[in-house]
Amino acid sequence: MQIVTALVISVSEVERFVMALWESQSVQFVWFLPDVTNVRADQIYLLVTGDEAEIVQRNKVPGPANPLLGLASGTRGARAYQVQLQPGRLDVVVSPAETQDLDDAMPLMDTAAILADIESRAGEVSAAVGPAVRLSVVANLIKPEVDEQAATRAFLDVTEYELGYSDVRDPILQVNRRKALQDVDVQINRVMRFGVAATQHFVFQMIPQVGMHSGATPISKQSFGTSLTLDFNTVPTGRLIEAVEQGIIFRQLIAETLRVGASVSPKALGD
Amino acid sequence: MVMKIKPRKYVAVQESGGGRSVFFPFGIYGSQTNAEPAQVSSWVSMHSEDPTNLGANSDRSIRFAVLQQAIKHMALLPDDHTLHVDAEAAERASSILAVISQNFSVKPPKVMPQDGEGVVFTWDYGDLKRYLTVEEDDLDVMDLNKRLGVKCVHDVAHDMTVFEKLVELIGAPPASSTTMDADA
Repeated sequence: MQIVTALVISVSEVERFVMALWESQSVQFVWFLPDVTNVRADQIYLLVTGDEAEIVQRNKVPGPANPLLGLASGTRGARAYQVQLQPGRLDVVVSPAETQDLDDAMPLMDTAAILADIESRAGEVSAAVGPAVRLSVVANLIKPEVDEQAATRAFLDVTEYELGYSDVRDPILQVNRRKALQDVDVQINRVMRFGVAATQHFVFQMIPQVGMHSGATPISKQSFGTSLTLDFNTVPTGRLIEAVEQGIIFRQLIAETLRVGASVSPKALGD
Repeated sequence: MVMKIKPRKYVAVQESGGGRSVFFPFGIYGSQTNAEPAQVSSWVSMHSEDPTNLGANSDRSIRFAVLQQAIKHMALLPDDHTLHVDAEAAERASSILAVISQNFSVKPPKVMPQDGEGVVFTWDYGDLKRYLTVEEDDLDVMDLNKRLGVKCVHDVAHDMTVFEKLVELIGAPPASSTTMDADA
């Protein structure tokens, strides 16, 4: 039986929660659309970033090798933006820009700042894409640890697994609890997925040869962390969500993402 | 003269988009000095899941992508070809298939043309065979009990509630995650 509770959260509570929030490896906003015929990835990129994309691709006949209808990407400061359009969905993905220095720590972003930035642009995107079948906000949070064992211990700690041993591999915990939003007839899935993430940083030292890429020497460094993916999305019923309603929903999806993310505990879904 | 390869941008390893692809956006220009080795870096996430939550490399996603490709190709065939489908009907069929695949736990259907004017999706559930016929201005669902030979036809109006009615008819569980792979 699905238990549904009402979402009640104040702005001051959000500010308090943000202090404990882990940083993000990526943040993703998704509009699931009934028709993407008139949506252009480069135009959405412009709406999201205020700038033109560095790379723009269009594909008239998507297939298994490239299912995308459109792609627009670029880097602004320390952030990389990617807009992906495929049948049925528009994805806006923000991730840290890559670094060439192996000594750099795992690149992460201020989760609350990214969510606020994209939310401020989401209204324009909603107006451009029209009614949606479903809306989604996904934040991939990471807490860096010195090695895999430490990341696993941190996983066991935050998930409150009491196994009596800690030398486990490939741990994962996923839980979902639905909740009703305020002011709109919409329920959301609140999927929390805890795990251990390993990120590898490659540097290819290229020995210059005209017109060739041969002679590259790869150097790599691994970084580890405890991961928490927050995948909060509206429960699809087939009802179309108009653009005006999308703003109300995104605000509540983000507020709930911040509240649950700051708790770093599956018990946060109790509210 | 020594040619120097300088990266304008880092190598971008993209996990999304159906296939793993690597871009090498180099600029090549001349230099009179010995070239320094160019460094190109890339972060590769080894997380246990697709960090972009697209799930584009899953078997399910690939099979739906093949169907989308097939519909597009059917619309591009000459009018007199046996597999030809009108462009408007193909566009609508593509949209409806995308909504179903991205938001509900349904397995990929089979696809075939309907007299050049529509697309038919079919699913087999034991003795039951379900037909979803999509034309430019019409949509219907027919369930056929193959053992008894009994048919049940449902017309779905062409308006804003089309997806609600369709969801009710096909009875598919709604998605919980942004990528369907966790649900399917």
